[in-house]
Amino acid sequence: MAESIHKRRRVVIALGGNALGDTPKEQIERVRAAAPALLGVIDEDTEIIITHGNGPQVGMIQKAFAISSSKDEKVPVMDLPECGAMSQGYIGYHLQQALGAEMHKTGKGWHVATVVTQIEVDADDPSFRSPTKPIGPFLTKEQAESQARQDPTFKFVEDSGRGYRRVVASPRPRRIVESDSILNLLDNEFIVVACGGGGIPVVRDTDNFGCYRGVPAVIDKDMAGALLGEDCDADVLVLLTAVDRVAVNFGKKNQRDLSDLTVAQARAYADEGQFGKGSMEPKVRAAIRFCEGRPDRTAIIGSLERAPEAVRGTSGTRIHY
Amino acid sequence: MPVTSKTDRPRRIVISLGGLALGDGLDRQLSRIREVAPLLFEAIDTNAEVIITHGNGPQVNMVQRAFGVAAPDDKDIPVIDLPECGAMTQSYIGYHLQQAIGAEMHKGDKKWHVATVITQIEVEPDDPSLANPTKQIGPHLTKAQADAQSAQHPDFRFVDDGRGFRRVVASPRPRRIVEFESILNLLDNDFIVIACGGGGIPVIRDPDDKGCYVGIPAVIEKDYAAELLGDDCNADELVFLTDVDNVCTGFGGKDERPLGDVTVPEIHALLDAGEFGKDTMAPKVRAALRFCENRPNRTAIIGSLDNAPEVVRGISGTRIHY
Repeated sequence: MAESIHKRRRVVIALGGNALGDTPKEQIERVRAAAPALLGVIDEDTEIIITHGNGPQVGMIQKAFAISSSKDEKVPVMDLPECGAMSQGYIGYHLQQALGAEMHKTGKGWHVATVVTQIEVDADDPSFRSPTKPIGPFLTKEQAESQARQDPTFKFVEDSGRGYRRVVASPRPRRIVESDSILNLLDNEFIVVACGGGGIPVVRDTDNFGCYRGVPAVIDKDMAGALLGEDCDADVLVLLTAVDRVAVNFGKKNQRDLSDLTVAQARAYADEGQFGKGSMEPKVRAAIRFCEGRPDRTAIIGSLERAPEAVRGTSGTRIHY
Repeated sequence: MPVTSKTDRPRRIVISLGGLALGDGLDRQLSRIREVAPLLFEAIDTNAEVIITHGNGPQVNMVQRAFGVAAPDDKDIPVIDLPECGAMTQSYIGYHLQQAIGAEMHKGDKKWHVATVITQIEVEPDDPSLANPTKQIGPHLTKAQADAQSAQHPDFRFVDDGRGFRRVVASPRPRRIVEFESILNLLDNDFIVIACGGGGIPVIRDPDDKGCYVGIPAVIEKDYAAELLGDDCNADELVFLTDVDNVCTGFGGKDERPLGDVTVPEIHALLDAGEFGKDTMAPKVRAALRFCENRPNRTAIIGSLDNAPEVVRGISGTRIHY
């Protein structure tokens, strides 16, 4: 594969899974509503790659299979890698259709493609020994024990009195298996949707000549977004969330919204514990990692509604050297 | 947009995998695809450009069933209709194919790339089948269950096939592959492309929405989608891999005769005489004929998945050409 030589500014946009709604109807409506903002980022000097979360969607698919496989022998149990793959197609289809509709209405002749993406993680990633990412529904102790008997690899934790939940590893993404597909489409001016839900995590199987094998784990989608940005040599990483800007003292009287942060400042605030552990901190960490890859990069954290302004610098929090 | 098909190129083959290729026991899909992958790999390793398409009948039924059984039980689970279920199966099957073919390439030290394209296919809003749906999907229901679903979804239609009530949807003719440029671009850059899974996600232009596409609950015959794919990509060969070695006349009878090499007029006459199974072999033969008719120096081959390398090399299966 030829090295990517591009002149246009390349922007990776990461959408949160929560922004996509809980049903197919909600999802298509929301991505249709988001399409003008996403396409608004594109101009003659800028091209985009889209990635997205899948938390609620993969949860829904897993739950549907879990419930129905216990009631109907024709429905198999479906584990995380396959559920993740399904969510990529489900969300990618709606994004293709919604972006296609917006382009149709505005007379743009661009093309959109979804790449079903596996991401390699290290088999000895420390998170496999101590999985902490809760997935799926709350269970009673009996349900958890019964599932653990059925599949001894399942691990459960009690979640603050609300019941038991399965926990899986959240390993660091190492390599995008389909990066050549993504690069090829990008270099030919496609709008690419890739690495949905952080990608389908795979490890090299030492018992099978080092071939890839899916593992039940969840890669942080912001970290996957940073890796995607690195692999396609992006200039800007935009992490979209529900708030317009990153804040310190969030939710307190002295809350202060930040519009511009150096990498060093961002790291200092993150180390202070200023950002929500499961929400804003991973975004800030992914932004820092992306900037570290090349000194002239910018990461932006902002809201989906104001994505075009965030990219142009009039909204959102910019992180850079 | 630099989307052009190369002019000087190796032969281009569309390989269509039947539903059985992906395993009958659904939890066995990955192990079945791993069994099949070496055969596909050997077939691909003939210096050709390869596009793979596949059925999704059992898989889409499984996904629909999972949501159908769980939805009444849990308020967080929505009912998911056919277009979205189809999209899920494309990425579910595509992931397994990418991984299994990737494994064979890794072992064979080939640096090819495999990509799955989530594919919508446009159909005509006035396709006659939309007014008269006949394709049965989903489980058999009691009359009470069918009535309850009809009450919830007034657009659902059901038929009583003697064993119970089943939902019927349209099976419209595929007209245009919406993601055609994605497929062509990857092909022209030497990717092995997986596309149009399950016949593609059927969409129509919505007259109430400025002609934007909207998904419809329908099932495109996957053999016709494969033919359209072959035609659009300007393929030289269309290969249907199924569970029989050859197309046969008098199938299942005493005078069953396998066909090896047949011309388009010969097999056309046999098709018109009703020699082929209406829902099994006839659609494949019809798709093969159309593929050959659209450019005279093409070959369509129908053969067995177990002999995939031999079928692609031309020493097994039924070869149809002018």
